[in-house]
Order: sequence, then structure tokens, then C-alpha cells
Amino acid sequence: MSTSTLNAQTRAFGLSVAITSIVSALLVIAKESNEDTLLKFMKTVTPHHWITHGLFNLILFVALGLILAKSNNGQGPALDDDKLINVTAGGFLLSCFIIAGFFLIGG
Amino acid sequence: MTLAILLLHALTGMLFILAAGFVFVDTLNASAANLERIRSMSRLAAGMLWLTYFIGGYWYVVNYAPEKAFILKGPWTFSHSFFMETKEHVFLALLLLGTFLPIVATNDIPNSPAARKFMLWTSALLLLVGFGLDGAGAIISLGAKVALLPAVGG
Repeated sequence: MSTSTLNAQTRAFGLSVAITSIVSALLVIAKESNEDTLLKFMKTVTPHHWITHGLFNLILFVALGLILAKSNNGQGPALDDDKLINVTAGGFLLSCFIIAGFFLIGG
Repeated sequence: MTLAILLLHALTGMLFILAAGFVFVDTLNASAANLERIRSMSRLAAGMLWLTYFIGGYWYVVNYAPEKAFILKGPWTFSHSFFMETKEHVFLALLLLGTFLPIVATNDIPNSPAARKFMLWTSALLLLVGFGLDGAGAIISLGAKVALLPAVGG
């Protein structure tokens, strides 16, 4: 039985922010490290790889959020509130550091 | 026209930062009296962020290439290779967090310590990273400027 005071959408989309942010940061490394394959492919999907990247993020974020909101009998992910806040903020910050670190070293 | 688009991007970005700051301060004093205002300002912050994304994204995709070429020939190549590359990709994650803000605001913030804490963390991160990206934008503009300036004493 969950004792959380947060609604299912907050729990689900919070976790979705963390997961999607990190996946997005890893996609940055993957596409910039594979210009002839992945980056080239992303440029064929839309006029610019950045648009493809943004669309990918948005679809993943919404899909994950909607799926996770239905988990745990409709209560959202079974995570302690404090842990959920840490995971959301930590995931977002980690993605920022991964991206900045990659371009700091690569640039 | 292209400069107007760029200025509009900076303007909506600043309005987003202001709205996120407003949400942070209002949440510190959350009560039944200001709950609707917190929710409205959260939606405004998300709306401004999306507007910033579309305006800046249009400018980046359509108009940035010549400026990038100038920057890469100038002395501040890092303004593109680090600041622009980081900015354009961190922005995508910021967009998700900004979209999340009105979702957190649907909770009972005055009576839920967890919801209040989540609102404070979310709005604070939006504020701080928003400021960082705003500063990165200024450095990118300076990168183009120094590339176009005649060499001093040359």
C-alpha cells in the first residue's frame, strides 16, 4: 500500500523525465560518435538531426509517462517520495553533466 | 528579421526564467490562497519554454549555419563546439523538466510536503539551468562578434 501524497501522473512523469533525459544524453554521444551512420540516419528522418532528436525525446517521455502511470494498479511507480525526487533531479542533472562533459572533452 | 527572431527567442527564454522563479518563491509560501496562481504560473513557464524552443529551434535550423561558419573561423571556436553544442542538447532535457512542472503543480502543494519539495526542486533546476543556457547564448553571440571584428592592431 502506497503512502505517497503525490498523484500517479507526477510519479510516472517524474521517472520519465529522469529516464528520457539520460537516454537523450546517451543518444547525443551515440550520434556524435557515429556521424556516418546514426547521425546520417537521423538527418534522413527529419530535415535536421536535432529535430529528430527532439521528437524521439518527446515520444519516449510521453509514452513512458503514460505507461508508468498505469503501473502498480494505477498508482504509478512504487518509489518512496524522497527517492523519486532524488531520481528525477539526479537524472536530469546527470544528463546535463554527461552532455557538457562530452563536448568539453570532445570539443 | 533573423535578428528579431533571435531576440524573441531570448525574450521568451527570459520570461520562462522569470516565471520559474515566480513559481519557486510562491511555492515557498504555498497556501490555498496562492495555489491557483502557482498552477497558472507553472503552465505559463512551460508555455514560454516551448515557445522558446520553437522560436530558437527555427532560428537554429534555418539561420545558424552561416554564423557557425564564422564562429569556427574566429578565435572563439569553443562558443560553438562547447557552448552551442551543449546548449542545444541540454535544452531538450530542460524541455521535459519544464513540461513536468505543471504536472507536479496538480498535486495538493499546501498540504503535501513531498509535492512542495518536488515543486521547489523542479522550479529551482529550471531556473538555474535556464540561467546557464541564457549565459551560453550570450557567449555564442560573442563568439560570432569576435569572429567578425577586425583584428586589433592588424
